[in-house]
Amino acid sequence: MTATLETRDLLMRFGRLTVANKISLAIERGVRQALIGPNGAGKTTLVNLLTGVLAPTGGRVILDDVDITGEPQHRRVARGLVRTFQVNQLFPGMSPLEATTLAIAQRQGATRRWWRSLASHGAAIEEAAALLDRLGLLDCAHEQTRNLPYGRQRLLEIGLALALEPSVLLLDEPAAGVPESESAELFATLAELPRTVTVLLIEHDMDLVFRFAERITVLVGGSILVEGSPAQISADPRVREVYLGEAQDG
Amino acid sequence: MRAASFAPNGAPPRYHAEVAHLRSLAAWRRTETVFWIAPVLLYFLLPRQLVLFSQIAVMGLFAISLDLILGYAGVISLGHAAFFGLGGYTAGILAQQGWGEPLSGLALGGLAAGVLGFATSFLVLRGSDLTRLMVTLGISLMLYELANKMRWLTGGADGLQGVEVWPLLGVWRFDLYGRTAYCYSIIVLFLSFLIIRRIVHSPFGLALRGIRENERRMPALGTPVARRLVAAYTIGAIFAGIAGALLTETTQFVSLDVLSFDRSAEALLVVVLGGAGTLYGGIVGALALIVAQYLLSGFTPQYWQFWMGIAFIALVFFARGGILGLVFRIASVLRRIVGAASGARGA
Repeated sequence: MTATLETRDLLMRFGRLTVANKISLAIERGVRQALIGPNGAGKTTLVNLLTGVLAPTGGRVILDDVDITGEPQHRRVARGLVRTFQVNQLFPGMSPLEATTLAIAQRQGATRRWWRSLASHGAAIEEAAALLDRLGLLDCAHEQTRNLPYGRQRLLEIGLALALEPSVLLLDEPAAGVPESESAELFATLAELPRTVTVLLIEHDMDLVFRFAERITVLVGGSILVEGSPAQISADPRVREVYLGEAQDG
Repeated sequence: MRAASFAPNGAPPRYHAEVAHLRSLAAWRRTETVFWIAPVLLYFLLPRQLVLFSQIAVMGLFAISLDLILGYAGVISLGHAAFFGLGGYTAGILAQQGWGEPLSGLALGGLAAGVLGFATSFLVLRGSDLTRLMVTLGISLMLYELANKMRWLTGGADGLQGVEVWPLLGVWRFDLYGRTAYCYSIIVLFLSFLIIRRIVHSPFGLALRGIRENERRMPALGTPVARRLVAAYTIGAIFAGIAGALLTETTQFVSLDVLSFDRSAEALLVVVLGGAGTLYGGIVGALALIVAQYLLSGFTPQYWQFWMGIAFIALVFFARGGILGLVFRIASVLRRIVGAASGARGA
């Protein structure tokens, strides 16, 4: 069994506050893994450390046996480590087709090219249209993104990541704000991803986590509390305590 | 290791409509042809105003170069005159020192501005809009004072005397009526416009729009944002330098005002006035500004700036997207009315 994405003793401090406390994580290739934990457990910080938004105070991030700790975000994306955002990060004034074409052109290294018209990149546009079709977004391909209903924007958020052909996909609460009726559709799309794609899902909704994930990591207070199969996690008394405790506080 | 493509490989091409639609957004329109025929007609219809129109062409090119970085890449600058002025002085000093060949002067003016643009881009691209505003302003002020101080080279506050530009291609002299200057300005404007138009409709241009729309998402798409902005800023500087050199060559004179704050502010005004992120807005804005100045200063010689001020405020409140934004909105309303009328007739 080989890990595709790994962290070793990952440490992040903001002043005296430790938000990631020596996290060592190994995600195996092709697996659907979930990262759960109460609010403030450091889940989003971990995503930011993995993707290069934040530079860690200590420790390493390793992707396919390459140390990428010092690499900027865009370099990691080029290696296939791609994320989506908890709060949509879209291009409000672009159409879904333009945005997806942009992502594909970037993947092909074409956004360097200023001397060739986009019109001569027909294959990229076609691929973008095919992806939108698969996501059920083709009928609004030419609308301005800001005019799309929230559920469709959420799909586009994921679509932009898929356009990059990730080898490791980090989904930061993909169903956040999506009505239940539409979240099923969203997870159906994710379930169709080929096994060549490794998925790390950060999610609050326990139903979704237990339906989707094969491995679950529980993060509490910046450290890993426990990791295991869904059955192990649901039976673990410490996990129950954390979640019951949180429920009582709230 | 990368995953295999999600798109069906080797499948026959589909989605013709989508591809055609995206292509049509960048296609050359009939209205554009009409737009570019206008300067040819002007040459014959208003031969006495050619000097004024050359001035508009220069300002239009300068504004377009700013639109590339402001309207497309979303980088705000209050010091774009630094590049305009450097281009102008480069061409002017060359001509004064005995190299008055206009085309190479233009190229060297653009080159000098491009080098400065590239060198300063690393300062400009750090930080927020406010930082950028201050840094661009600071650089242009420094350059202004430098030119002021270096009298031996620039002529200081008196301007550069003795600029002698050779005939264009060794054939056409820059005449008193400004005929050569006009044709030269329009051709340089048109060719520069074609290049910049190609740039904004390229994948690079799409990435610039992406940066303007959401700078935070772009690194997550794999785009090296800083590198794209450096390139855009440098290209914008090159064309500003060409515009400055063009002004020097067509007027055979250059003075400190090409580097002034007013010049930078005017370019910003022209872009907003015409419509940012449209390219044509730069030319339309320059035309509107200079014609309005010309008319208003004849009407109320002392207080014309007052009316200009009112016009600007009205424009940003009631016509967002500038003059071109207004034109597009009216055109779409007209199209709807015409469509409804012909639909009713058909029924």
